[in-house]
Amino acid sequence: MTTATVPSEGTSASSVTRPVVERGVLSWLRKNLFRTPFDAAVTVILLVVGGNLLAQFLNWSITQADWRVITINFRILMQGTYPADQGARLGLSVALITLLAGISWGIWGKLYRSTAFAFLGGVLLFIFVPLAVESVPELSQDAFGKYLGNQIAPLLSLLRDPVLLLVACLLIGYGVGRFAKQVNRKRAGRYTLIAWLIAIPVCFVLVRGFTDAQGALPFVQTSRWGGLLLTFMMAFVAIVACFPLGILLALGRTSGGTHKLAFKAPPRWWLNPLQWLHALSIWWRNLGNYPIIKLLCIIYIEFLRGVPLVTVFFTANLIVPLALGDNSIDAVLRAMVALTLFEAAYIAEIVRGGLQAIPPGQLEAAKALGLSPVQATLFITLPQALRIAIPPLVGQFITMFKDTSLVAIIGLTDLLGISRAVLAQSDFIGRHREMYIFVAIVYFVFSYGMSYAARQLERSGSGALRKIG
Amino acid sequence: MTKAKEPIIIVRDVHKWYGDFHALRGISMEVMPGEVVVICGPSGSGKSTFIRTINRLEEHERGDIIVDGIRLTNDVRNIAAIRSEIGMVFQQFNLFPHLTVLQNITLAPIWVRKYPRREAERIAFELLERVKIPEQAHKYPGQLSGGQQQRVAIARALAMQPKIMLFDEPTSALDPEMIKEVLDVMRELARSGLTMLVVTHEMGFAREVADRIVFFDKGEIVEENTPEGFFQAPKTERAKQFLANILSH
Repeated sequence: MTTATVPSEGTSASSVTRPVVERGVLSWLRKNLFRTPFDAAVTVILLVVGGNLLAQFLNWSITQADWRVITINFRILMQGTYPADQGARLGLSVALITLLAGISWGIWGKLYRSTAFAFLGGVLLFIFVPLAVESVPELSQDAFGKYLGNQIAPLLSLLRDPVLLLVACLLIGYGVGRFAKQVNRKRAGRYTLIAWLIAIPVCFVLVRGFTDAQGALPFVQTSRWGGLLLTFMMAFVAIVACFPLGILLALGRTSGGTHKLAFKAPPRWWLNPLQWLHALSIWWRNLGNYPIIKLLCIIYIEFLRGVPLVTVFFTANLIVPLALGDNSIDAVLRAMVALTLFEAAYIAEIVRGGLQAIPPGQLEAAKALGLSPVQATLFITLPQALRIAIPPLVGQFITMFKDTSLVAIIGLTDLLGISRAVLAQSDFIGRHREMYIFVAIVYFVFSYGMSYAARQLERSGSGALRKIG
Repeated sequence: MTKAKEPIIIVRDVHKWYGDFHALRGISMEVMPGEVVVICGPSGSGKSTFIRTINRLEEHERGDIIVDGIRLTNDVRNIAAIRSEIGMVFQQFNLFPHLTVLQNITLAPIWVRKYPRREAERIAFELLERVKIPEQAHKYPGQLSGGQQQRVAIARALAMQPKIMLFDEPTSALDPEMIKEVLDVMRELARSGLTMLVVTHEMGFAREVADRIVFFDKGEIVEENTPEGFFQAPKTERAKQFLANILSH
């Protein structure tokens, strides 16, 4: 860009040394935590309060908590009452999805050193803690040893094989993705997207099976889906289905330029009932000017955003069978549809926000080139709007993932629902804390994973909007 | 101009309102094929609005606009037909930031003219050669300078092989250093016999290239003149005043 012009005082400028920047832990502490007496006081108070809470929690978790409630019920928490002899189908689906996630990561993301260390640490933890507990029996004398031996080691050894399998799938996928990117980035990306589109229904069929199949994939009723499996299926189906529906609603709502009548308000018009009538009539005529599709989209979006999700679930669960007069539609399907319809309204508003951020000149340029409205939307405005909308969209997807826990209220046994069922058994009475902490950790791990993936997508060029000028 | 030629653009008594603001007040003019018309006037005089009515980015509310024998109405097919005959270059370039230079240029030929991709790309490279930036084909607009972006925008419009080109203040958003490279391309286009309507404040360009100058003020055509006539002996007081303001600084 700039040509190498040497400033006249170049020699003296180069002899000026850059001031030394302090580095290191101590200087960081001083700068960030103890800059002023007030800062120091806040730091100390927070440390004392936080440390105390943490110590209490650890003490409880080691001496009083009984984490076996999770180890014993692990299978049911993960897959509900899905037939145990069909478990390989779930494993295969998860492996497939993880592999694809790894490939996508290899193509669009980057393996940071911190992430690699976290992986390595996790894997070592899963391998060595159970080994250590088994091989050193005298370890389990004091409270901490007992805690490790009775509570942590069984959980870790239970999780070891699946976790190792998942990490292996992820890393193999990452390697494949990197390789494919080197060969042909564009084609690799396109094929991966297509693979995702195929993999999702394939996994769905794999889990559900065929109604009349005798041998390979016998049908598993949705009432036997439960735990994390149900949570995932609900979230997955709803995310995949609500996205296109939300886009259509957003396009419907932004469609159609109509002439609006302006209400010219005289001063203090609200004091005059006649002016009220006038404003109302103009509002009504403007309403009549909306194309019908736009009006329907607005009504749909505003109505569903105006009611709580729980009421939508109740409607799907109670009123729909009543209205149809029979109970033949499966409860899980009804909940999925309800979640999809509800979230589509939110997605629509996010996409609309993205569309509004596109400068009007983009659409004008597309029109001036003779592109049809559909082409202009597909090639010009929508791709740019979706890129802008990635952060709020991912936020909404994470919300959706967590919102699936509300189906526990209408009696479905998702992760939260099944944990309540477990807690109702006499063996596990009073183990609420352990169970809910576990559930929270599971939700956190997957929500954080999604948000991490989204940040990587944004950081890579494929998510960034390339600005003009 | 010989009598055998028909005007390619006929505008008769065109009016447009924005709310209560009367933006165009009875514009009438004709443009012959191959003519270069420069439209100038103070800001807010309706000159941009006027050229945007010609490819119906703005709807006119009264009067007739006939382009290449097609009357502009609300009929969608007419609008599409006319838009593919008219290229437009904008003040803010309006390149598509998510597409490469090459994709920006080939998009419309492929999807509107239904050219095979290879043919569209061949045309695109020819045009990039013509606007002197063939080496930028695979970059994104954001990686180019303003002048280069505007030249890509010109190439993109030319790729549809239009009969008419509209320029809406093509150099107003450019650094002074880059204005020349864009004006050079436009000069070359004018010499090639393309019909051009140019809204611009570049009076040097107008004097050199225009066949005719149309001066707008307050939504009306105040003066139509040859470049020599307009710059040396403007007929109206308003034009004199405008020229005095614009040339004095």
